[in-house]
Amino acid sequence: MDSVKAEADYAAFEERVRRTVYVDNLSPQVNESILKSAFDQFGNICKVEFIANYAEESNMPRCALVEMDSPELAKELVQAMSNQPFMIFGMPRPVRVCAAEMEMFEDRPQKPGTKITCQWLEPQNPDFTIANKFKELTGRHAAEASFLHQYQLEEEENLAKQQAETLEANYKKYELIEKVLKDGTAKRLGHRYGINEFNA
Amino acid sequence: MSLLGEAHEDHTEFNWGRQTGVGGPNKDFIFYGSFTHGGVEYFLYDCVYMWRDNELDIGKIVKIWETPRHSKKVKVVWFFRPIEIRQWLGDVEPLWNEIFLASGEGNGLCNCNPLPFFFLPDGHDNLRSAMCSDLAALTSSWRCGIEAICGKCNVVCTSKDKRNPQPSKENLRMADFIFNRTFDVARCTISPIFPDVIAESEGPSYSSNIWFAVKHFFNRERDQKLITSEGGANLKGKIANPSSFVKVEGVTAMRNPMKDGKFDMSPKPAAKDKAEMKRVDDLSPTSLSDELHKRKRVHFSIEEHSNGVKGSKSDNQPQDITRRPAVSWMEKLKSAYERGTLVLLENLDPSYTSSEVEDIVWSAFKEMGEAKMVPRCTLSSPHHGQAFFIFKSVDAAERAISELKEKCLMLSNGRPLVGRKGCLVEPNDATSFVGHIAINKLKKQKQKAEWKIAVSTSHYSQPNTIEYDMALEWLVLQERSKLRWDALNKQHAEEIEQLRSQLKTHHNT
Repeated sequence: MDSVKAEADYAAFEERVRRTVYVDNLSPQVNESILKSAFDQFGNICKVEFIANYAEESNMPRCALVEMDSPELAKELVQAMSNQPFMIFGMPRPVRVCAAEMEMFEDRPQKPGTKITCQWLEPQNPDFTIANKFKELTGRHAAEASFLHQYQLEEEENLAKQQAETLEANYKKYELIEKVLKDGTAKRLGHRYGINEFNA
Repeated sequence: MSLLGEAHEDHTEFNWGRQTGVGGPNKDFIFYGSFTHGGVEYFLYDCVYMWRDNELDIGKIVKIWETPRHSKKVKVVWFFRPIEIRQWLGDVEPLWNEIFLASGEGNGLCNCNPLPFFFLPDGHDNLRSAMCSDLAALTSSWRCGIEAICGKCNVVCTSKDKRNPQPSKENLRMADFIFNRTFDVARCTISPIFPDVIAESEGPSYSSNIWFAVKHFFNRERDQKLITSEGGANLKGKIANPSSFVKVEGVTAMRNPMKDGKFDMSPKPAAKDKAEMKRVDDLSPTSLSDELHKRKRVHFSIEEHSNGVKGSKSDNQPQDITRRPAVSWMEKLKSAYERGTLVLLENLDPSYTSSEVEDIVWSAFKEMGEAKMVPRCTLSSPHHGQAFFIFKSVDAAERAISELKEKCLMLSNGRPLVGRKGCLVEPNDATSFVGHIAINKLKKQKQKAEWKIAVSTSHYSQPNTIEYDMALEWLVLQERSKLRWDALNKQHAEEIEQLRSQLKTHHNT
């Protein structure tokens, strides 16, 4: 029967969802093989699927669905990565991992037993005004969401810039120290001032 | 630091309360049932805030004594905040003011703390040196550092254990924190089952293997208020059998009599003052903090929106549209966008599938086309879904949009469909990713194969590297933005619900 098959399909899909892990904050340069080798350390990977990003620019963080062998493995992974930063393909921005949900899958089957109705409302209908308000609300929500998104992106950029500067500065310091140690300046100065640690 | 500042004025004010016994090998340890400090009287089994570095911890005083050297100590059993044990929380989602009682044996269970030493006015460093020698050997990776008692705390137990008297609504409302689960420090597990005794691990020589009946951790009897210094009445109630409990003679393990008081908590106490919670937690919410009154970590369920998806499909069943692989969708989208047949449908229920969307368009507009639900990711709202729809012709697309604008197409979950011209952003080549840093000078070296492998290996960050610190900063950022999104989504949900409740005629919901 058609509905039986649909239900079976849906149950199989649900099971798949439980085994899948949603990975966020991926660099756009990460491709399937990189992801696979990244997660291979933990267990067997069945499938890696990127969530296509239709309305975004391509240096935005990507996200992907990684299907593992078992739901326990998926859960373990989520827990482990939520506590310790895990890097894929670059540092230091860690990826974010959480359990997958059904709406994240593009090719999900329809939930059996659900039916949708739709109805055109005439302006005389008392619900018409409310429906209009709803439409405005949707627009407003979308605007708010995109604003928050922008804000988040700015924050991320700022942090990245700040970290890059810090790193550069630290690296310069290290270089300086190394140079001084290498070319004998430190040794000479140490000899002059009676500090002997640089004689190594 | 402000708390420490306030304590300065009171730091000389310290009084012992009722003495309850003596102990120790030379009988020169004096045990007390209470003490007054800073104008507040603390009794045994009071829950107090302890100051550690820049954090407040919550603990329950289980012993108060004075050593032969006249240093004043107090033994405290800790409550863990969810953030401290989040590694082991797993699926457990604690309430915003829920804490966990430490149980089991091992480090992290309790600490011995000297008392008014904390209130020396010469600053933190002196504090540390003064107290290091007095700290018990129980400090663990979770609980190392200095503690200072800075105030009483109202902790109510909501466990459904039979030994625990259930708290009244009043108690719950007044409670700062609730607990109904223990965290076993040895096994690192969370359990709602309270063992009979909350054991302490090996303490200093004069007091070891002291067991405390779990009764002391449950709520007290109803007639006793929790934060009160009503003198003798409370004290007597708390220490049911002072003699058997407090006389710690030598190295003996004792079972304490069960007290009558038990703590109880019902699942959701009302919202309270969040200032302390905010300060206490590491991750503070940002600009949307007003919305975060109840920072319950309850995930938003979209059930309320999707459980109404019923009704009947229209009689004109569309033909089966075969699913094409996603790869060519980008091209299709692009070409549709250029031709002007791309429409973005919004306010759909996020659980709809692409085929359902096609059916909707067919039954509403009698137009065929291809739909693609935008898959949900962390940024998209859980309340409304979006879908791209490619119409067969520009006219059809235009007509559909104008019809949707003028009239209202109500879907069965009570939401009108919104449509507008779809737009795509031009993709550009991705060469850099915000957040991935490379040292420029090393780029030349990177051409070597080993470097490439080193960078592209995915790894956990080790705690002793700069990378780790930076990664943590990113994690904090991610968490913060997640909180913001949660708050925004919550607000949206409320607004949607408000409107929906105004719908006068209900459509098959």
